[in-house]
Amino acid sequence: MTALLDKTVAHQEPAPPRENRLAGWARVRRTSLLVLGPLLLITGLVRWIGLSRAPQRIDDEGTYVAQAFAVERFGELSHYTYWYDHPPLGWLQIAGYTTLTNAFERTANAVVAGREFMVIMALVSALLLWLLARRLGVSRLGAGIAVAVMALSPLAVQFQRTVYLDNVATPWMLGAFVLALSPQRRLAATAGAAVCFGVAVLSKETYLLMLPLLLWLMIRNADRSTRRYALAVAGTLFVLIGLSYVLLAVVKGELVPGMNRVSLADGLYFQLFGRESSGSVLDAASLSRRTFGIWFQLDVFLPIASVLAAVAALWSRRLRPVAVGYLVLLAFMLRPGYLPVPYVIALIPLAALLIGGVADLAVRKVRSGRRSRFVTVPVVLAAVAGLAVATPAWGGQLRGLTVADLDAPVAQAQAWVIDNVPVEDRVVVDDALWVDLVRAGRNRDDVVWYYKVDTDPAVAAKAPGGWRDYDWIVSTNSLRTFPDGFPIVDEAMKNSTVVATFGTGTDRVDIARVDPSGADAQKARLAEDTAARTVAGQALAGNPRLSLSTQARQLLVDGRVDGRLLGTLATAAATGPVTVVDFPGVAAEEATGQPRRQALLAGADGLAPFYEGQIPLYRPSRVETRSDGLLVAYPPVTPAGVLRGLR
Amino acid sequence: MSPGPSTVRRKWPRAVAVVLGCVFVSFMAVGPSAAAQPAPVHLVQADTAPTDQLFPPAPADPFGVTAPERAVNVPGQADATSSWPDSALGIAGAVLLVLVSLALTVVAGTTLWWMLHAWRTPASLLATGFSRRSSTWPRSFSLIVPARHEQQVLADTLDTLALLDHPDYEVLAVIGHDDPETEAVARAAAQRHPAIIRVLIDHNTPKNKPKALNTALADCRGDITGVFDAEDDVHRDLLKLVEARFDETGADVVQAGVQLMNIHTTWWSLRNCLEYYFWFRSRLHFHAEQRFIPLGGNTVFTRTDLLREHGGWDPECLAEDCEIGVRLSSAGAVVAVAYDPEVVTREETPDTITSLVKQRTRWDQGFLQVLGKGEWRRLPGPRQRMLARYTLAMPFLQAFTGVMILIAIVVMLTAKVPTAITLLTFLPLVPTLVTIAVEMVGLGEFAKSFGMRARPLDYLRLVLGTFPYQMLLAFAAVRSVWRQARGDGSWEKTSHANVHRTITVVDDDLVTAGAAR
Repeated sequence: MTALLDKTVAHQEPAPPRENRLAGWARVRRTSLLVLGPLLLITGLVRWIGLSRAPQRIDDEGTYVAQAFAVERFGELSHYTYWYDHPPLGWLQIAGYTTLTNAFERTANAVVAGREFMVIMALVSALLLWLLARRLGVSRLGAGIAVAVMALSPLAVQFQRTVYLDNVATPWMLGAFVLALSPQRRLAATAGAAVCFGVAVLSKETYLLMLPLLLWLMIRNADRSTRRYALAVAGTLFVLIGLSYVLLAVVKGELVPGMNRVSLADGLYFQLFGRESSGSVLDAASLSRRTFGIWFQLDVFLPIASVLAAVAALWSRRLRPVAVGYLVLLAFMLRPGYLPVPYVIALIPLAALLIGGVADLAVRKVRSGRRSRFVTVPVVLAAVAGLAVATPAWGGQLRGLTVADLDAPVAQAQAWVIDNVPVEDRVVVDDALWVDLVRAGRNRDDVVWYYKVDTDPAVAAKAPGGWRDYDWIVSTNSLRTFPDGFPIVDEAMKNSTVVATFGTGTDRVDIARVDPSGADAQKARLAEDTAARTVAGQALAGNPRLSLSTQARQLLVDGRVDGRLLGTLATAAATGPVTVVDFPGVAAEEATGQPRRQALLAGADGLAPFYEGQIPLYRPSRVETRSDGLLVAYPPVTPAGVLRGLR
Repeated sequence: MSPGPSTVRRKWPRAVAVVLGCVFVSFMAVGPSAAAQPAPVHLVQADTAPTDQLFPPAPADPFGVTAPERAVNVPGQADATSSWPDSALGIAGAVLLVLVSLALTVVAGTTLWWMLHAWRTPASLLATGFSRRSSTWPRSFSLIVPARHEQQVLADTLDTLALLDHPDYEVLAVIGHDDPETEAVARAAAQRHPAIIRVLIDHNTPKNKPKALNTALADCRGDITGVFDAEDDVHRDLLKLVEARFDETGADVVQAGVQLMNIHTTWWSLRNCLEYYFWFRSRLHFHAEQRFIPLGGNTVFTRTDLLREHGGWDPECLAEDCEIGVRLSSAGAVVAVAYDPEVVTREETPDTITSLVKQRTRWDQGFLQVLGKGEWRRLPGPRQRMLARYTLAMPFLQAFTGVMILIAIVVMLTAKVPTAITLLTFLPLVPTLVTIAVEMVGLGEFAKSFGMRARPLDYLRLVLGTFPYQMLLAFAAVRSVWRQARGDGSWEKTSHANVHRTITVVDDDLVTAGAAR
């Protein structure tokens, strides 16, 4: 008994103090931390600086943040009927972040809330890329190059900033690869790899294409003695995680197509067969080619260097699975069919890994001295060429991504809508604006994604009058160029007048007012209004009690002043002298030919109560006493009937 | 011989999850129910409240009611909460469902993880075997073989034991004074091997295995005392390997592998064999590392002086093997476990389902007795005590969760259950299905190790047998709790058919014909 107790004591050695363990951990990994730490810092900074300004918000980003918003605020997978377009795990994770950090309340706009999470995902991906490279036997130098390439490639920066589900899936995919290469070949790590990969696929379904690569790594790393158990556990877990998505559909009673309902089967059919082909990359006019063009415009170095590296890596036993996997993914891209724009996101870490890995191989070859001349010369040449191409191009692109404000048109349009569109009006918007307009106090049914107007029966049911039930359209490039036809949106566009426009080219955002009386009636009335404004303006210009600056007089005579101003100025002039300094324009409305709806009046303090006391039709949205005079502003779009009285 | 309650533990949650799964599938097929309500998209009737909420909405919802609606009358967001239980009873039901699901998942998950313990890394798998170095310090062995009404199998067993490759050991056959047939077989064997076999008569009444073992312990001359059952088929090299294991580990106790062999006999013998496979191949190593181990009933070797110091086996316990293991663990004894397919002690499953249930009831009840006795409270670490409580209380846990599951099913059928909670109730299926996959691999590995063939029929039996086998084990668990509650501690002995020695020519007729009662 005594002997036994002694043994017990001997077995309970005190654990080393916690700080010591941490310090020991850091000491062992000192070199790695010294290399990786700064690289992670750069990764984070390059993505963080200018996060809200570039690139311009796009509809996809709006879609995912809005769905995350719906999860957070409404407890629903989507604020429209969830139709199995993508598995929901990606935006559930975004919602987790926004809920924990209260991101929607903090950030400049909802998309920025999502982009913050993307930066975190990019940091985690960078860390995992390092681990993956190290576990593939790549030196610290090679791993560092891989992480640096991913940190600085403008292609990576732009796409990893954007709120894409692919960015949520990437760290899970890399985590799966890292775990599949467990040095001790732990069964738990293999199982963990399967779980990570399952999460990756449920975050973005296209990541299923990585399955062969993962299997290759797993099987190659497994030991014969435990392989069958490890693979059985991993395989079952992965299948079960995938089936949980099917289970969701089953529990909701939406597995197979039925009358008046969405279904998983329909969703899968749409993704696999229903999407319009992006055409062949080889066809210069195709959508695929345009997608390619966007990638190459951002970065020439990464695509070319990575393909060369992949070919070279085929001769390395350790890198071969990654090289083959990468080339197969590239080949998959060349097939005709739907090519998603964010497809490149999954390729970026593999490309960086191959570049770093091959650089490491080359350095080793040179150091080993064997046949070094045959290696040294091409490697040096390639490195010089690569640097020559990459450095200036990357510098320019990164400056653009960190400094330029490409989002300004969207931000200004958003502000214009909030300021000028009556809150009870129904607005068709690009998805990117939805959350912000709803957060600004609009009813969620009165802010409608353009995509849903024609495709969602529940949305259509709320607008029995068709396009006439929508009052405004905020159109972005993706709305204007969407490949599928949208009859209701098209009609609404045709029967609307652009009243404000922001930015130019593909960045342009237009705000149009829909006229329920139709395009012809609208055109006629516009002509009538212009004529009436000209007649009334000229008459008013002749009023002796109205003193006008040259500029203001010209605007009046040209019929470019809003009827409500004409009416009120005439009335005001009847009671006493009025001095008009200017009819200041609103920049965004100038190009649209809208009449000036603001007036700056000098020495007219007494007029403030006059304007504030007007009946609703003639009551300005703003009456402001400024140092240079009294500014009176009316809401955009002259109501019908105002000018008829003036004629 | 105790893969008992803990293997039941491994299986029970699976049964439960299958029941839940079946319930879901059946009422999903039927259609209208709270859990499986479709969320239709109405083209005309837009006033249907959404029923597909995943999470409760935020308490204050400023959207959706602020501005007037256009054209059609759409109810505000408040209606969306209708898929959430609003009554106190409904909330209590949902909470119950969540708790039961999580509990089942944790139990099934830990059990799965411990079942996979040996394979967690290639290095750990290597460490589970014998090192095959010879011992530097020779030890003498006393091997106790208690036998009761086992005249049909005993002669073979004693002959095999008499021919083991070791210079210094004895075999003590312990026979009841009221069992002349078995005694005659034992005496004959002693005459054949006079230098090795001795026959001892146990005069205790009523008789049970621990009493027989204690009778023999008084007479043991060896440094190490080993225990075998009357039907055991023991490998010739075992003693030398065990001796080396004592040497290299400095252990007080060495547990070597025991394996049921007759996988082809019946659907349940297949599962029973696999239970043993995973228990001795893997799970026991986990317990040895945790330094809390319910030992097996045979092929277990203990320092004789240590056994005597602790007063031998508990004569009143129905799982004396588990009890001594827990008692020695609590006193800090070091236990080493070793498994090698080549030298495992081969046994056979009980010959009928009734025997199996009786055997399992006895083990379950034994575990409950050990739990009640409280020796495990002296284990040094809180983690070990937790593990002990968890392992030994399993029959209780089974009975409790059984009742809970019935209530949970009633809740599912009567209350409105939100989608997220419905999905959560399927969580226990994950470890359960992974376990089945692992068992299928185990069957293949088992067959390969023992030179047998796992036919497609065997895999089919394995999968289809999952649920009925759980029912059997669950029944035994409930029965053990019932017997323990009534204070019925009588010993139900298991009978065997001696088919494990003729493994290649086994069929069902032989089992019935050769049943030894």
